[in-house]
Amino acid sequence: MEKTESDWSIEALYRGAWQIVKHNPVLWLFGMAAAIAGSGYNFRFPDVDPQGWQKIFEDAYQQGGNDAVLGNATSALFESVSQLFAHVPVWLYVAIGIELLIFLAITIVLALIYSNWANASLLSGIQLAMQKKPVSIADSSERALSKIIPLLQTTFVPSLLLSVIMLVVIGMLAMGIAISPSGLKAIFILFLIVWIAVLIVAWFLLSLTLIWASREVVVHNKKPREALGHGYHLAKKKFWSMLLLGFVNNIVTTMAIAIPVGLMIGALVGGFFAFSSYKSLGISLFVFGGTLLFLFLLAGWVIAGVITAFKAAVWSLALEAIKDL
Amino acid sequence: MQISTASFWLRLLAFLNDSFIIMMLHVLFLSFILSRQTLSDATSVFVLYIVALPLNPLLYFQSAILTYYFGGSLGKLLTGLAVTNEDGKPLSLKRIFFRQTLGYRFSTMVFGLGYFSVLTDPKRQAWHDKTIGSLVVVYRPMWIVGMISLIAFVILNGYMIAGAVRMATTSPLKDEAMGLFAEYQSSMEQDAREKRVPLEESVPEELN
Repeated sequence: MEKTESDWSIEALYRGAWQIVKHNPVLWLFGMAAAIAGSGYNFRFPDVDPQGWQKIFEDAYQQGGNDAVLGNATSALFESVSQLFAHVPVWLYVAIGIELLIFLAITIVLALIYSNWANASLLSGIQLAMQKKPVSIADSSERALSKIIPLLQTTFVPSLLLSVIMLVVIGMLAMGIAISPSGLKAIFILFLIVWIAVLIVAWFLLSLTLIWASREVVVHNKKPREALGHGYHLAKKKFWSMLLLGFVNNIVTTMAIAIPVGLMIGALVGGFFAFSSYKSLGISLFVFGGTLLFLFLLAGWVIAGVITAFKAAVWSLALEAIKDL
Repeated sequence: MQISTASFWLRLLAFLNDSFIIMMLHVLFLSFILSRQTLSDATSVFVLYIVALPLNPLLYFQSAILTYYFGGSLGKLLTGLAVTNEDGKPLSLKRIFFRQTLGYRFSTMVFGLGYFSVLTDPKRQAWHDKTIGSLVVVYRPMWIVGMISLIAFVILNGYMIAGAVRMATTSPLKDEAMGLFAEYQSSMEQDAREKRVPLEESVPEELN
């Protein structure tokens, strides 16, 4: 039977995904891990920001000239403290610098591994659920451990390449705009606009490709290059259907979060305004809003995990419907 | 071969031993800082402390390294426990590193529920054990040694902290720091006096 454009129905995908997620709480854990790990891609190293500390010291040093009250006192204190640290052997500062660099590298590597392990475990768990097998942390994680490196190659390398190409071309065009005579500037600006449009399409295509490619690596054991090729082929064929599904996913998940958050904020703000005129109504609204806030803080990450697992299950079911295309 | 897995309480005992050993290292260093005679010396030793302990990657991975070479962290070894795979054999370095870094992170989600799952799991596995298929087994019944060492570490830590507090209140460092603070305070007062507008200039001429 020839596959048609509408190889999946959003309603069927959502119903199937909900059944999978509802009956397998282990998937919520991997969803939470994936959701939390998502922030790891910021490559932040919390608590240590060498430029921030430098700025703080520079600001503190300059504050003596700007602050009308503290005046020279602050700079005198800063000088005394600086003199104390000036007696520390230089090799200790070099050692601190090396250790900070090592920590930064380790943090980035661990964040990447954790994120890819969480995603691979989630996809493996969903696959087990789709095959009506029991889903456990042990089984899902065991399958995922061997997929971390291939998944990293599949997701990280193309994104890094595209980012580098984007920055290099934008840099060259920006330089062209800056140094070219006014007659040629318009051409560079036109190229820049076209390049930005091309980049937007490229990023979209890459994101859609990676949705399929990651599943091909984890579920169908394909090599990264093969998975990317097949993922790209599917993404091109199902471009508009995928955009629609992604759009609906975002609307639904936004509503799932926005409605309770909106109720909570509405109750708290309403309680604040009602308190002066109608104390009992104000207190009731505060209690209601406060309870919602408390539950949200307690269960916020669990909700994020459920939503992440649900969205992943939707895409996995979609791939199952079109994998032979 | 019958493998005897460690209960939650034995694992907790091992964890407490580990925690107090690490705490002892920090307190030792801080006592050494407070024993210096000048602020300048103390600052140098403080920076050395930062290099040796909080920022030292070896300290963060010591439990993974010890587990690979000896079967468990110091606390586990003192309590007679070891980390093995589900067949009782040693784990690979990659799996141990994963367990001791990212596995712990996974167990810490949802208020550390992953650690408490040992209480109800039939194999007494925490979530970080399940991720790599490890077990914490009792290779020798040494829980008494673990208890004695824990009590000893608690007493030693308490004694060292009390000594550090005593040193902080009586050492020459305190006088030097107080002198620095007094200098800073008097500079502040002088600045405030210089910035204040003289009284004669603030009163209008007709009232003078």
